[in-house]
Amino acid sequence: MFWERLLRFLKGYVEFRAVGGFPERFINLCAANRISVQEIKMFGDTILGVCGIKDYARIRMVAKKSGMKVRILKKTGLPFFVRKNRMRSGIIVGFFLSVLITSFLSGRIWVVNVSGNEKMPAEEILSCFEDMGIKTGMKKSSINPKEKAFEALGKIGGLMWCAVNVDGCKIGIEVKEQIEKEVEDKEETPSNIIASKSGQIKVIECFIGTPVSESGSAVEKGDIIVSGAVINKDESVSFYKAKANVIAKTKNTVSASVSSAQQMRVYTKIRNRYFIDFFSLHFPVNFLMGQKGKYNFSVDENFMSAGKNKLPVGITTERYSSYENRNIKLDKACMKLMCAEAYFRKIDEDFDEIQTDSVTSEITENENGVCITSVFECTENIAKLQKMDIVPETVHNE
Amino acid sequence: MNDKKQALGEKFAEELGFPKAIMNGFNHIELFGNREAIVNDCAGILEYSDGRIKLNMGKNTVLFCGSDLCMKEYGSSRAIISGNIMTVEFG
Repeated sequence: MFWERLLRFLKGYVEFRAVGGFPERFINLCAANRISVQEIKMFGDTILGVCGIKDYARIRMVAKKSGMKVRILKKTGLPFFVRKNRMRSGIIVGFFLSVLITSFLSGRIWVVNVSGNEKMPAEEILSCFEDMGIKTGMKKSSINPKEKAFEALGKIGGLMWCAVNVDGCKIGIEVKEQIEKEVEDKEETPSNIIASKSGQIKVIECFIGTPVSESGSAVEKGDIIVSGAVINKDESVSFYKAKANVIAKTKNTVSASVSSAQQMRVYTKIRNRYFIDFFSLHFPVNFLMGQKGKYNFSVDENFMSAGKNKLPVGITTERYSSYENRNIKLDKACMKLMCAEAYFRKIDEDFDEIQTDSVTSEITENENGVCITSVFECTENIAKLQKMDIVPETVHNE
Repeated sequence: MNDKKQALGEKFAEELGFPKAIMNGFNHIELFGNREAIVNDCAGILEYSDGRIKLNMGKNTVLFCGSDLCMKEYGSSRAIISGNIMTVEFG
């Protein structure tokens, strides 16, 4: 039934109404003239029916013979649709184009993802696979996943295992990095422990060696605190690599200053150049003349995405920011802000893992600049290894 | 005379094992419940209304009575009648 209807639609059909005359004669004449009429319904002296386009052309003659008046109620089918839209050929062209494009793109790789990497950046792995030929826009049929995975293991150092999986139009690269063995410090060169900073010793935890200083004593930077020379019971001397923790109170000064006269980079002009990226194609939208003078160059990529997956269609912007260095005079608020920023950055670097007991800060400001000076009283481990210079004793025979 | 011919034909068919309808040229009607009827070798329509369809079968006529009767297909070889068929009368 469905196929009959489909066939009828493809050929095209007409629903008609015939009134008056002799309905039975009309139907018999249709059958005699091999005119196929379906869905015949009778309502009084009115016949409703359905017939093909060519049959309708002949039905008018039959209707005349049987005294009936025929009128079309509805025209349905592909021929009528095509005739109605014959000026809109773009629809058909667009339809075939879309089928072509879809079938072409379905055979290409859209997304390449990397997973399982912890220390190694994904860009490095993707770059290596790109050199091997696995990238967005490539043909799906040209990939041999096992072969590429094996090749990648040889090219990328630090990988323990690698797998390439093709899932639809996506390639998933799974990697497992090698676990680094902890290298033990086997060097046993005789060494002393000296003070890395001046301060007052609070606690000495000596594991190997002979303590020279004691708790509560003040030491200067470079003083030996624990010696690697150990006197044995038989009064001979053995030399070891000293090992100890020396906790001491220290004073550290941090200072940051900014002067009012500064040379700053002032951006004068920004010019953009745009590229359209479509799979592996990268073609420019506009052109720029050569850049003169000093400028900063940056690239900004905006790609379409489907959920978490980045699609290979997007716009890349190359930004050329021209600048010139100008001497400017900062105002007080700006000076303070810059000085504070430099000050806190120094504290971050120097006092990241140190216990601070107290801080005394001083801010001096005048027309020429701002200066922040702080004295930190800290408790920290000041132990530092220093190799011993052992000079063998010469025996003088008198 | 016709009755004698018919009786002879039926006996001949019975002896040879053929269906009687073939020998005597009976018309073929298929009924699907009371919803549809397929009539082969129909000679013409004698009467057609919403509740009555009378067909000329050559040697005799057949009348379909019911409601919402519709001729789904009518051609030189067959006719298909659908609707609520109440009675089928041969005349």
